[in-house]
Amino acid sequence: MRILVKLFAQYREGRFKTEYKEYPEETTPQIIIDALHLEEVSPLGCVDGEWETC
Amino acid sequence: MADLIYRVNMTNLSFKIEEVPAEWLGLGGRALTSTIVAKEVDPECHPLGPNNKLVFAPGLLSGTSASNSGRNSCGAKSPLTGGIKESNVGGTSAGIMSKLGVKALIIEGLPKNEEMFYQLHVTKNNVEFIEVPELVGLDNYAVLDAMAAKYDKKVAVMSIGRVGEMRMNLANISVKDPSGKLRSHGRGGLGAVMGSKKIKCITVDAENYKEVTIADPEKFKEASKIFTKALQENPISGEGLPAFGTNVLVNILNEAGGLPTRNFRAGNWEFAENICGETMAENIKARGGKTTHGCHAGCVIQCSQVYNDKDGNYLTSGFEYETIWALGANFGIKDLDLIAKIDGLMDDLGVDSIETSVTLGLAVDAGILAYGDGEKAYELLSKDLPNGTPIGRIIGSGTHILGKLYGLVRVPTVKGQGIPAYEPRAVKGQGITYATTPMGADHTAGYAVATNILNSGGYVDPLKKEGQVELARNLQIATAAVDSTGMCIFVAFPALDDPKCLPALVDMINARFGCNLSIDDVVNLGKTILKREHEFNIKAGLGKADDRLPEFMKYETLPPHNVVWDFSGEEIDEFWNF
Repeated sequence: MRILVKLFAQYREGRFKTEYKEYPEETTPQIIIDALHLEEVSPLGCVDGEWETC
Repeated sequence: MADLIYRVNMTNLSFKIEEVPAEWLGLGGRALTSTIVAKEVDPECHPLGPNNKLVFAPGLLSGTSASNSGRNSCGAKSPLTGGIKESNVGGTSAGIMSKLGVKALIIEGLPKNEEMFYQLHVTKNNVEFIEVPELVGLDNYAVLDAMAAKYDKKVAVMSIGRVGEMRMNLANISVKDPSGKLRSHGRGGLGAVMGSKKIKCITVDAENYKEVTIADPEKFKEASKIFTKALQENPISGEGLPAFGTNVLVNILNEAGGLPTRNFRAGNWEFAENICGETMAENIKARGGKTTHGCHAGCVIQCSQVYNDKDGNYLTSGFEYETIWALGANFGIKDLDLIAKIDGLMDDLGVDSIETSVTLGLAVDAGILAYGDGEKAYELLSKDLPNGTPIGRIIGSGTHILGKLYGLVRVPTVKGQGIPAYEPRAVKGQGITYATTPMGADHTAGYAVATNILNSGGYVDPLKKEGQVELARNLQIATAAVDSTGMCIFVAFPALDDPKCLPALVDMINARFGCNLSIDDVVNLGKTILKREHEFNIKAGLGKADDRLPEFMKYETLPPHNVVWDFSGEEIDEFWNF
């Protein structure tokens, strides 16, 4: 599936603002975060620690 | 030496110094201004008449070395809401008043000579009444220049511009900050109250006095260190706010569908990137401004900034999310530089940048301006408003009155005050705060965005009703307490998430005064103050029907989540059940 990833604040540094990318159907937010090598992600809009499901 | 009450009577141009009554000793900031207003002001009085009082009070920790403790509270009956008002500000006034030993400055009465404006010059055990005809008709920066020429040293300056002289609801009280720029007692028309008392400016000279004493300096130092560390280590107060200012919220609220757009017709805006904090930071870096800047001495968060134009010339500072949102998504200006230019103008004029900009958003519905026509908005604000033309006075009356005059239904106000920056339908906890706070729609009164959107203090789903009343209640109680300490409201982020932060804050209060308060005592202070303010409003004629959001939010669905405001009156009224 084609997913639009938007990065904000300090996560943009050395990366991008927005990017469309193809991901497998079972992709979770956690997989995308891992691929971006983001450190200390602030979880907004979901319960802390539930990146797999939110 | 003990702090003292400075009481000024503008009717006979006299003053007296009073000892602090025992029941006020443990109060500061908002707790003290609201207690004095509730005790001494007739709730039924006209806000611009002789029986209203204007009260300034630094926080309990103001003037100390505690980080972020430089807030000064101002209170009165508000001409905008008709209820009690407290508005706190950074700048230099809290520290200087504290160092002089002024627990509160109470200004009462109206001068008999309606033609004259005065400067009040406050020094040790003295208040001088200086006639200032030469300042009449000037705006804030010209007043600051005049005071800088008059006093060759650091004095606090609190002033009003022409809009305040004309007693318009938009008028704020502006305060000189450490860089010589302006901060504001912004909301509620307190500048109109100052104008009604014919006070053009108040200057406070602490001379060489340092009356702030610390009962237990070692304990204070230790607690202060823990508190500062908590502020610096929190991802919001220590990272996001310093790097991007409060304007980091544009993209966050836009993605959450909670960025009010086109006078509250949608929850996101296609041009958010133009005005967001990331764009602002890029511009600042490229143009030689400052991405970090403290609005008062001792601020370690530094969420303020200096924003220059493309040629490197100063445009504004203290460039806040709520103003940028109101002129951007809500009114439609896509050019951040033009928004900055208008923000700088509003500083100089001495008008509440939130109320003014929300009014402009409604002025589009009234047919006065086209959506996004920033140039015409600038002209209206720079010419009509300060010159008091009929349309200038209509805009100067604020959102609620503009709506009445033009027969509009979609008027985004609560208790007559414009709703700021966070869509109540999509950030429901914030909606409960807007409905219930005694201040009228005020985002700072109980910042539920923290837990609805920023996952600070846990997470309560912003689109669901469950847990919102309790969240807004707890936050408003905590905020009433924090507003009494002189602390910046952003200490709430580490206070919500870092178990060491709040105990350190209470330890600092105990060390400052040699007392033994518990966290429960401080929470109880917040409850007492909130109820005191609510009681004043009830006596002033504001009842349950005023604790409501605009009706259109109940039947207009808000994209992108297609949500409505779905709380019943009974559910909202549960807020006061504590």
